[in-house]
Amino acid sequence: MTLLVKNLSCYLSGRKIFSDISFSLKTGEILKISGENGSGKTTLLRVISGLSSFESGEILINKKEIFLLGHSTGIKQNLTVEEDLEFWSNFYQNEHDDKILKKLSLNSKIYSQCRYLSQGQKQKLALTRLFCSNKKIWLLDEPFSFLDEESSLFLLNKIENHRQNNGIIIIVSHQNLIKNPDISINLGDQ
Amino acid sequence: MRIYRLIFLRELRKVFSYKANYIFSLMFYSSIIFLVSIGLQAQNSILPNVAPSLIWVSIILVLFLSFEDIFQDDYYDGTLDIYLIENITFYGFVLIKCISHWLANCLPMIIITPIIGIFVNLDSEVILPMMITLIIGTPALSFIGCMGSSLILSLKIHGLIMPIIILPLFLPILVFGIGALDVLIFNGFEELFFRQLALLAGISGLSMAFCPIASAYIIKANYD
Repeated sequence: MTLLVKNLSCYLSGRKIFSDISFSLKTGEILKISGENGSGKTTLLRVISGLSSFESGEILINKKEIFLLGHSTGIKQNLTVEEDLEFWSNFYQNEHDDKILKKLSLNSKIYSQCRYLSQGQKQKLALTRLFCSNKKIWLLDEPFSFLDEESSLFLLNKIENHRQNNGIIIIVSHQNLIKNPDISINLGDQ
Repeated sequence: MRIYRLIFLRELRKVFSYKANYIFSLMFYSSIIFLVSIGLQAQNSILPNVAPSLIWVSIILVLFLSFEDIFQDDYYDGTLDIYLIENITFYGFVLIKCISHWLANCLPMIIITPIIGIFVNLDSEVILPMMITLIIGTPALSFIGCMGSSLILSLKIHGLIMPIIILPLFLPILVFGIGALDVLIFNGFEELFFRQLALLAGISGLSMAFCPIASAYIIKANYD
């Protein structure tokens, strides 16, 4: 499985967001995208996942294998953590792991409505959906946002495991937690 | 099909967990009827005659409050993004939203209509036909309302755009809904009642067939 992006350009209302982006990722590789605010990092992930359209270029990807973890995490405020977990585990037909909940300190919040969760806890809940999904291509937009140190390390481990299990990861991050990406793109350079 | 059933159950959980939403809708519905009945106290004799119109118009007014945020939550919290990536058809999703909207907003109002009818001296013989017209006609309101809601999906400030667009589409439902009851109350023509009811059912059927398609197309257009 490979992911190929060739001469990708995207304009929004005539304004250039990014242009001529090309890269190729094989299984077990990580691409890190960096750049200043507004440089088009999130848009690039949305274009790759098929949520936004693009002007020119080519994307070759197995769409069934995509998982996008964006800023909006699809969490319903008035459902409980348990209901959210249950829905996504039934959706992906994959039981969620109680150990992960414990590791992310979500086990004590299981009966709380999601509206009472902090931003960090909501991010953790979104991560449980990621781990439950069994998708091969992870598109992660600022996944370390709002996470405490322990949870960030846990996520780093998971990313490394996913890489070793022949997954493909594209990560947008301002932090330097991913030390050895196979490819790096700085959209600020454009 | 398994996934659509899951989404449907999640939607029902979501809409019924916003208890304040449907309780306030029912309170608003009762308040309109109650206030009008007090306002018309001096002409108490005309109340039973205008009761069907009053009930229909009140239901439409209350429903307008619920149309605004049918899809907005899902759009802004990323749910629609996830469904699009997971290849869930927007048509199926819209259908689920319309049905759950009807169950959460219209059905409770239909259920309390016999009680509300007491305020407006609704004839006991008219209660059953009234309920039948509401059960047949209100799905069209939900389906058209959902279509209107999808039109304002990405507009943060939309004001009265949606009511202005969809209000004319409600007119046939109102005309045949009230008309069916009027011929029964004033003329006692059962045959005419059933004809108007058939027309009402036709409008509901057309709304159920076309509104989800239009709505799904409009939502998809927000992503292009």
